[in-house]
Amino acid sequence: MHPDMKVELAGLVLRSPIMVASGVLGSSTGLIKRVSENPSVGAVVTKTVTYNPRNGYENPTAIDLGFGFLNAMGLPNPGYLDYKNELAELRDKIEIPLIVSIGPSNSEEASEMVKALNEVSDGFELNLSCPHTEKLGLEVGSDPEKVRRITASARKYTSKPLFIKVSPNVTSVVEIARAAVEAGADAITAINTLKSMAIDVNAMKPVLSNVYGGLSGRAIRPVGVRIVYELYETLRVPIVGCGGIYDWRDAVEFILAGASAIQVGSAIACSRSGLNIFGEIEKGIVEYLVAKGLSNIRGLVGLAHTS
Amino acid sequence: MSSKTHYYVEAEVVSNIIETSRVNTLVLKLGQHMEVKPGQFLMVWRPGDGEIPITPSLTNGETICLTIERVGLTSSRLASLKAGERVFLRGPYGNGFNLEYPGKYLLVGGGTGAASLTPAYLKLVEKGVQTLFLVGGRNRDNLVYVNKLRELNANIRIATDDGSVGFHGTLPEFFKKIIAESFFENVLTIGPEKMMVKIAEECHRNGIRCQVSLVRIVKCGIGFCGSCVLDPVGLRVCVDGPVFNAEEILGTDFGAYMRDEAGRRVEVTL
Ligand SMILES: Cc1cc2nc3c(=O)[nH]c(=O)nc-3n(C[C@H](O)[C@H](O)[C@H](O)COP(=O)(O)OP(=O)(O)OC[C@H]3O[C@@H](n4cnc5c(N)ncnc54)[C@H](O)[C@@H]3O)c2cc1C
Ligand SMILES: Cc1cc2nc3c(=O)[nH]c(=O)nc-3n(C[C@H](O)[C@H](O)[C@H](O)COP(=O)(O)O)c2cc1C
Ligand code: FES
Repeated sequence: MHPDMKVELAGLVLRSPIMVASGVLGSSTGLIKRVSENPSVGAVVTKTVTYNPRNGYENPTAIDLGFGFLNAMGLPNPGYLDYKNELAELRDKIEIPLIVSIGPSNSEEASEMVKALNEVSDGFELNLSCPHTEKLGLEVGSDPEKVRRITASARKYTSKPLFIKVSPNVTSVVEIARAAVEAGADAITAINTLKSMAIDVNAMKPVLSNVYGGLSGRAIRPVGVRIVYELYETLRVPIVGCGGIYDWRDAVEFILAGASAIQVGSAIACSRSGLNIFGEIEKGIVEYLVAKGLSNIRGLVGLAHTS
Repeated sequence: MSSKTHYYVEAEVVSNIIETSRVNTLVLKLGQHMEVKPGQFLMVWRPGDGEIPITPSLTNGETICLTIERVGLTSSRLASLKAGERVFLRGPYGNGFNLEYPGKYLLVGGGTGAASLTPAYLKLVEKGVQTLFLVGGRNRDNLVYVNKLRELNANIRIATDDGSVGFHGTLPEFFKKIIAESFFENVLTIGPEKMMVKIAEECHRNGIRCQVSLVRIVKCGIGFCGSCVLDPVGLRVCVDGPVFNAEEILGTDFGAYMRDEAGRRVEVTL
């Protein structure tokens, strides 16, 4: 018997719990379409769009550290109005839920963007957690009051699922997430990257042009698992786990910690066949469920918590 | 990816050769052995001046040449470096040319493309494969790497837009004439995109296998930022390319659209 991989997430039905994390494929609708055709992908989250277009930072913007990746792309994106047209075209061509990630710097921007993009999306992910952009992301997402206000503004203009993506770079992720849920968030995505930096020993200079960036990949998985575990203990909304997921074992770990679905980001950079990673992860989870005698993936969520 | 270092390789400028008023070749001594296949590229960094992708114009593991055209800030700074100054390299990235296909090879280089094709030329010579090299430029003062190619005994033919040397006309026009005279099974091309798309279409009409090296805005170089994507097919120049079989990308945004730094779809102008 083939275990059932379908999950229901804040009203969305996903054919698989594996999602594509925001930003890792940039703004290319062609790439989103290509990935969405992979039967193991349950939903795609777009690159975060902001109110105004952004070129992002100068290179170097990303490096491979071996145990993870460091990036300060600087949220390059065409801006929400320009992107809306592309998303409208894309949405007719893909068969899985398209979650649009937005990065407002205040409540007004949040309302405007959600209003404009509502008809071209199946849900929103509010990125309040990018660690390296001024006046956006973490600058907003580390203050529970701002999180509450922005979430409420977005909520007012959409009845579609609203995910809030949280940062590990705060003293209490639970406090931030709770503020978001109280303001109407349907689910929490955890985690975004960890603020960090690298210095080249020969150049004797910081590598990233922005000096600070976000750490992703293998190195951050235990941080992600810890945060998902904490959130599951205190919240009643579904959690989407993200951070350093490379294979089925990593994915299952997040699900056991309490994630209803998971997102894959950096791992797609790891090989030339990078986009096959989704199939490999799904196959591994299915085999794991069979070996454990479970008939569906939903039975696995949060199992590490039961005594 | 396993053979790659997870830090920059330091390199020192041994000399800076002036090719044209806009193009220089840096000869670099590497602090560490680096294996780069023909058509692969490196990310070249100078702290404070930025980092850009460059396809080496010669490599032998310990020495590497970069032929750079001044188009903006980073390329201008790099092209002006003096002996003794340092750059920092990561890579190699991308797939490189497939030189295993049987038959003769016609190499078509516009602008700095002739330089970037040179490692492929040398590899083909080493394999005993017959080649012809077409080099093009606006006029005789805009030809890149011709002296080097002569030094390497390459079989070269030149086209200039103003006819100041060689064939009077564009590279695609010259190309048409050449393939009418003798058949080549393979074409490798690097140059301005509008030129490459014409070469690729001509190859398509004539049943010639054509590999093109595409330029897009490369940021991460490792396939995860989506900056370098060719739409609507969603191919990433930095990992799925930069070399593509022309058949695979004709009819896409190749030759027509690219994305700017913010990810906006804009027309290809060069
Ligand atoms: C795989 C690859 C290999 C390359 N190999 C070489 C090489 O061997 N020699 C060489 O001279 N160049 C090469 N290039 C192109 C080179 O990387 C760009 O010219 C360089 O990034 C420009 O940076 P800049 O900071 O000097 O210019 P910027 O200040 O970034 O830009 C100046 C102007 O140049 C244009 N421009 C910038 N980047 C590009 C681009 N990627 N494509 C087209 N136009 C652009 C823009 O319109 C801009 O207005 C290669 C590119 C790729 C992707
Ligand atoms: C190149 C790159 C770009 C990213 N861009 C975004 C973004 O635009 N919005 C966002 O919410 N997260 C962004 N992220 C964070 C990822 O979505 C993810 O939360 C993080 O990388 C951890 O997951 P991973 O270890 O699987 O990559 C980006 C990550 C990378 C590596
Ligand atoms: S440059 Fe980042 S995906 Fe190619």
